[in-house]
Amino acid sequence: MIKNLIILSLKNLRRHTKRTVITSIAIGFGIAMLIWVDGMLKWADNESKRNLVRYENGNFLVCTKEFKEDRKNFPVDTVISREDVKKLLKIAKETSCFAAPRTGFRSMVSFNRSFGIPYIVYAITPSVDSKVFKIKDSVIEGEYLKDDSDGILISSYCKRELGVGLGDYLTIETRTRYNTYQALNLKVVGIYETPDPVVDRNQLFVTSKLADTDLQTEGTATMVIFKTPTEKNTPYLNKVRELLKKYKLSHLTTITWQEMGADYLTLSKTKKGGSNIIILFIFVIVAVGIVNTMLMAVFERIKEIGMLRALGMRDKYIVWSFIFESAGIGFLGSIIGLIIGIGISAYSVYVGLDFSSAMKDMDIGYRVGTVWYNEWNPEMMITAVIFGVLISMLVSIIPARKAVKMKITDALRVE
Amino acid sequence: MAIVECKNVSKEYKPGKVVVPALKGINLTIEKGEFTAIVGPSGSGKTTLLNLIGCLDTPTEGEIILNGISIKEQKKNQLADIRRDNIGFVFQTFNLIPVLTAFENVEFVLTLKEYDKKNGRELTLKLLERVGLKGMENRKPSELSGGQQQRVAIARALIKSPSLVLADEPTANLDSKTGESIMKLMRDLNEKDEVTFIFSTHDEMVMKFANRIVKLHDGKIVDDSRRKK
Repeated sequence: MIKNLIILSLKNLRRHTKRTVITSIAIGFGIAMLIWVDGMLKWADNESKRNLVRYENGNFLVCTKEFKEDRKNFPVDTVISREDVKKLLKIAKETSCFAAPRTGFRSMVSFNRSFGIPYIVYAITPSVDSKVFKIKDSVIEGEYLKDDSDGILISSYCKRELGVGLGDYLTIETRTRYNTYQALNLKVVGIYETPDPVVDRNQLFVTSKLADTDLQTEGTATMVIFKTPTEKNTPYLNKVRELLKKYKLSHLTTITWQEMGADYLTLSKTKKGGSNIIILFIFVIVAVGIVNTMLMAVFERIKEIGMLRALGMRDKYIVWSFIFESAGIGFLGSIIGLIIGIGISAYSVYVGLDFSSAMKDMDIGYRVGTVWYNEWNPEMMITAVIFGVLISMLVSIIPARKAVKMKITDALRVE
Repeated sequence: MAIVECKNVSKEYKPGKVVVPALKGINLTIEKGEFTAIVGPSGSGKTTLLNLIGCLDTPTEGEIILNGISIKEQKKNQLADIRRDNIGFVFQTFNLIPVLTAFENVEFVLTLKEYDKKNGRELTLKLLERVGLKGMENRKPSELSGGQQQRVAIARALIKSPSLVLADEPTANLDSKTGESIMKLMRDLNEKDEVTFIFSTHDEMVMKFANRIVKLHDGKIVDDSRRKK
């Protein structure tokens, strides 16, 4: 019986080919949107997490407990001593990790007597820092810092904001480790551009050699950042924690990239609600298309439905025949959506979509640049197809039930 | 043996606030193998009576017994099963499923219940041949004439070997020549296969084929006469 109903439903789909195709295309458009947007959001989320590690936090960092408490204010008076920094670099070697000491100074940066713009100026050892972070690979003009450089590495964002170029001198106003005011005039030696807008909008770099003298860091650092050889940082973190005890560095503590990027990870969870809104949007497209098409089918076939019931077909089978018909439209729409979705996604995966003009100065929370890519998500593709079919079946119940509500004698009288 | 027994059957419709009596106290017994015409002017209650006998509607008063079973207390699904197993319908407008071929339209009725597919196919082909549609099995209704469509409808009504076939004005949408050939076919099936037919009509030509004529007027039986075969 069910098999015959399915065959009948499929044949009914061919009654109004144009209508079936138009409804399927509408569903397909929704499904394609779901596949494309989901793939894009997935890429943005994963890329953001990767960029948090590559450009902002490494896999984890070691700092003083006081610094950890007050880290959002970038304190420079709670530092890791020169000897302890050395020990930490040794620990990194023992654990097969890379480590880079950094000290961040809250600064006001200005050019040509303009008003200052706040930045965090990091003191780094370029040869070591480049093994942990990918800033070196992101230099687009000039050159990356050398260990003995007296210049400053700025971002392309900073370049735009202050209107500076290579060779210009920037004024950095900040406080030294001993809380005294200091102003430095530093030559721009390089300009970088990372895919992480948080780094580009907030971070400038000088050498620790310069900071040792001019900002009185004297070989200390506020943090030593670790990069693990694999993405799984927990085993390395545990090992480092053990060695901290062994090297009598219990006054130091660790912060993982997840803790450092907690604000983003919270946001990421919230953003997943955005996908649900897209699903709801698609539900509406599918529901309106299917209900409209099936209601038309029911009204057109009232007499035929009456005849089938007169011949002894039970009402539930009539309802099922319409549900199967909807499932057919939903399946066709889902396949169309899958093909279109894969097509658009493929372009986004391999070429990317440039949103520079729209997102140049916009912060939407993701740690990604203005060129957006897609990530393949076969799970979502399968889900989208199943979703398309199931929703089509679900919403068709309303018109299908309408089909069997009328009295058989009344249905047979309809012209 | 009585196939149908109507005992004091009345039917009222209530389209708004007004009650319209369609049948009033009908008492009628149809024996197996009868070829009965229900005749009368428009609005006399012919279709209402056929609908009640065909379990498509329920009487306001009285009782209808089909093959010894009272349909009064039957539930919706039970009535559907009675129609499926015992009654064949032939409609004035043929009511074939346009997306199915002649063969599929006839065979579809079998699919409403478990059946042997091979036997079902053979039976369908045999019936289509019996109604004169050999070679037209794969034609869709739109590719058949009105008379041919009605023949498909008759084959569809007979495929499950019902004890009763109800035909509501079966020739009304056909020209007189085609209508006559349809009536001859029905009569032939009645005589050779002993299928019980009840059909409604107000066509004199159709009436001459009946061996029993039940006249209705204003919802009442005013005449019930039998003719010799």
